[in-house]
Amino acid sequence: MIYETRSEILRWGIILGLSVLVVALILRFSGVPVPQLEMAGLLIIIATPISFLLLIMGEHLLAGDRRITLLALLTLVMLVLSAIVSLTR
Amino acid sequence: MYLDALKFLEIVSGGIGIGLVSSVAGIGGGTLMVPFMILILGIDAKVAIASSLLTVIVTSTTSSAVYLKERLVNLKLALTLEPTTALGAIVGALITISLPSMTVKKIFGLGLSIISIIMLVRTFIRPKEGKEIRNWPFGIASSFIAGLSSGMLGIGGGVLKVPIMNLIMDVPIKTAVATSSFMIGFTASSGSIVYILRQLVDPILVVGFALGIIPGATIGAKTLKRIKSKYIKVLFSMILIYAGLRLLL
Repeated sequence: MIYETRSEILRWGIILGLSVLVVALILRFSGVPVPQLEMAGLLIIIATPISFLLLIMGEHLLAGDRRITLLALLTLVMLVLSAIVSLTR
Repeated sequence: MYLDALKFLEIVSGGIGIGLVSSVAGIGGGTLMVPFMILILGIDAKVAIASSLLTVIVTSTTSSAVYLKERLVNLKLALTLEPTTALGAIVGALITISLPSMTVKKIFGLGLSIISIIMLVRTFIRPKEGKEIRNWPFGIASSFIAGLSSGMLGIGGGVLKVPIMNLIMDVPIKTAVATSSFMIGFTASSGSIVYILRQLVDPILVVGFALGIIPGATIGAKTLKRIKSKYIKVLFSMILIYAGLRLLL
């Protein structure tokens, strides 16, 4: 499965998120705060496991494994629910 | 500006120490990070919990990449337990943001004391070998509690997930540790979305701890292998019980 052989995607996603945050913090320490860049870094970190979940879901869907696809979809629904609840409450 | 830079160095140093300790004691960073932030850095309990949960995504995702490569993660198990765990994390995060910071601090103190006692007891329990996974309904239901503690207390929740999988569901210990680490990324993401959208996460804390914990844990795993981890676990469980009681009382 791709998600096993390409698991370094996870590491690179986290490195990207942290790099964006480091740049944002350097700018903040230099007196030019860019809150949007800080938010982008945090969202990249959160998006990394979520993207990986989508990869797992897609791969198992193509392989015809409905059980794993459905379970991954359920977890994804929970993540979407989390965003909806946070935005509406 | 200089105050921020100094604070950042203090956080990185703390992260290195936490990384060293967690790799030797075999515990997650969250249980040490939150008390460090509240008791030593004087950070608000809600901000500490929110920032810790995001840092937990960084550390657990990095380690789960290794576990996936070594094919130690049981995907079916992870994805079966994850929906209820994620739901627990959302509920936990919502409870934390709805309470006053002082109450959150006390709840964290109580939660930390309970978790430290579980850690202490686990030190003396021999892990099961495990052959066939059983008790699925109980595992799914109790995962909600693991998720709730993660979202509410800003920890990964591995301290609950691993015993649930190993002692109750008969999952081999290595698979339980790897699967729990893989799940933590999703669980912590569910809770973190709530905190990020409420702007409770401090990026300085996330970057500082991540930059400290990752090298700290690597150095710890490579150099401190000879130390008897059982004694370290007992020692740190006692320290965490003390920290929990200090936050509670």
